[in-house]
Amino acid sequence: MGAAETATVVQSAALQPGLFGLRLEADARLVQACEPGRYLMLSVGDGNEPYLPRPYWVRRVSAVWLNLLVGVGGAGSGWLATRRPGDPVEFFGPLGTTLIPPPRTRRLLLSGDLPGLNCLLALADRALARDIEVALVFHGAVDTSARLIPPDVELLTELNASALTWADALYAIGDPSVVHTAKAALRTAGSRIPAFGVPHVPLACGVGACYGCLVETRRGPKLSCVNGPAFGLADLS
Amino acid sequence: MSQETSVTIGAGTPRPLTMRNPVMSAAGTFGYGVEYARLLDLSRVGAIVTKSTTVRPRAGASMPRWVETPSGVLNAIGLNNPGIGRVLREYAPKWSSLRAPVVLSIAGESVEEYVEIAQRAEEAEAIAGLELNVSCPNVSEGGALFGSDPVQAASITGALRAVTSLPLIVKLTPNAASVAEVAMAVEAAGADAVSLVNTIAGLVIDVEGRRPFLGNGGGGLSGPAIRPVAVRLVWDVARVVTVPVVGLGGIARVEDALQFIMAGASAVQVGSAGFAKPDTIIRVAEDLADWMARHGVASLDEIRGCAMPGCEGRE
Ligand SMILES: Cc1cc2nc3c(=O)[nH]c(=O)nc-3n(C[C@H](O)[C@H](O)[C@H](O)COP(=O)(O)O)c2cc1C
Ligand code: FES
Repeated sequence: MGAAETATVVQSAALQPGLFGLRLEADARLVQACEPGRYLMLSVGDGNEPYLPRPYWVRRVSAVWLNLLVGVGGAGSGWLATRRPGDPVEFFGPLGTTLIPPPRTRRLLLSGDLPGLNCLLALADRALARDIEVALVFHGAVDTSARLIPPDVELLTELNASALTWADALYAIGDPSVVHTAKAALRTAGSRIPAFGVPHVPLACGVGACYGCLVETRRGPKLSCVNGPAFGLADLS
Repeated sequence: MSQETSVTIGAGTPRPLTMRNPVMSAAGTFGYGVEYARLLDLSRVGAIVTKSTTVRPRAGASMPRWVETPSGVLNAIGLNNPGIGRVLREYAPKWSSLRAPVVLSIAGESVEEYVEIAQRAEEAEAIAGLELNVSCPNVSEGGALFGSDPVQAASITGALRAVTSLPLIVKLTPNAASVAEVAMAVEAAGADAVSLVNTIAGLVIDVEGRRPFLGNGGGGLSGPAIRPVAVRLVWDVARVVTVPVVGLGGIARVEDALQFIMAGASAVQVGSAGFAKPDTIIRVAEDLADWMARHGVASLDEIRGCAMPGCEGRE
């Protein structure tokens, strides 16, 4: 992992309103290191505008390809949307800690939204490869006909008691509100399965240098980029 | 021709700080150096300036702590840091392996707090210098920034000079009525160098929420947006002090660093530009040597301050 790497766009496609996909080709060694939960810090723009990098969770789809689903919203995603096949995208990483289904998981429940989608899918791939059943509660409009979600993943409409009874582990990934909804659902259902929250926190440096990505937990404040991205759901305040 | 880019701060003092090149990291944007050790060959940087460190650990400001702005970033981290005890225990032992001099940035809310950290740093062999962050409220004097008043800035510099043999860099805030007066006052009180600028006070309003965006309310602005202000202040200060001036504010490329050097800076610091491209600090140092070679400049002395009034530039 170097401080200045370059990926090449091999494909860019609008997937549904407000969402497009990028396929990036990068050094095989780096792609190999892109485990679920790990992220790349992408340089977007000309260095002045936008000024800060954008952290993106990525999904490994081959030895040299990474898929990135990008929700169009701000200046960074707007810049990524203008990338065409052959264009370079500079980045550093991957950074962060790998997410794994807890040992002995047979049925993994995922809950999340657009900011967490790349991470949800990477974790789903990992679980399916280990013959773990996967169900996903997706908060937001997702066009399943666009084949964004692997066919083996069961899409649920609600994170309720029956979903929690089915599952033996839970990951809630995305906007902090989604993570807190999952925490509340777990409490209401009285479920005691291993449950993790992965709040999507904007990162400035990504390496623990700026102290800008605080997550409040019952064990005190933690840095998302160093101590996360996953925290025990019950620990998140 | 090989270019002479080394710089010494505190020349003639018991423990001068000699840097292989004039490009340092800026406090608070590079952690304690070790965070970047796996990404960068730090033996290629001039010096590492740490996160500002206080006597006791500080929890810092509430979130959000930063927001992107046009060509910049507004932050209010609130001096979140682990405290000098943990820094000396956990980080200092690793500093010799970084192969770059480490300057400890120090902060506090009273003169006594600054003095206590300086005394503890004095014993730590791994520390090559101190940078005094005076952009902190003086709690015992009603909360005004130490650095915005020449008298207070001088008194704290003098108190530290009395207890440390380490090179002492005083980092000036641009949020002062006359930065040049503060610079002269701290030089007279024993500073070995001044660095400028710290962030410029700013505010972003979250219009939908109808309140300030940052958890702290206001914050400090960094990045290319502040560069012309910073270059101008370096130009003002370099004319009135004889100690080395360290310039910073929006440096992302060698041309930016050269502006500061031509305005009179002896060294520069790279701050928030490293968030997107951590190797900026090394690139600027290496591009500086290349630029000098291409322009037939053998030593930084030939271009330092060449844009200042009374200098003729390069013929
Ligand atoms: C996230 C962040 C944290 C900072 N923390 C400190 C600090 O602890 N002490 C300090 O003296 N300056 C601190 N600064 C200010 C920088 O050292 C520097 O003066 C300022 O960012 C201007 O440089 P730049 O435009 O290159 O970023 C901080 C800046 C940022 C962006
Ligand atoms: S993003 Fe800088 S400390 Fe986490």
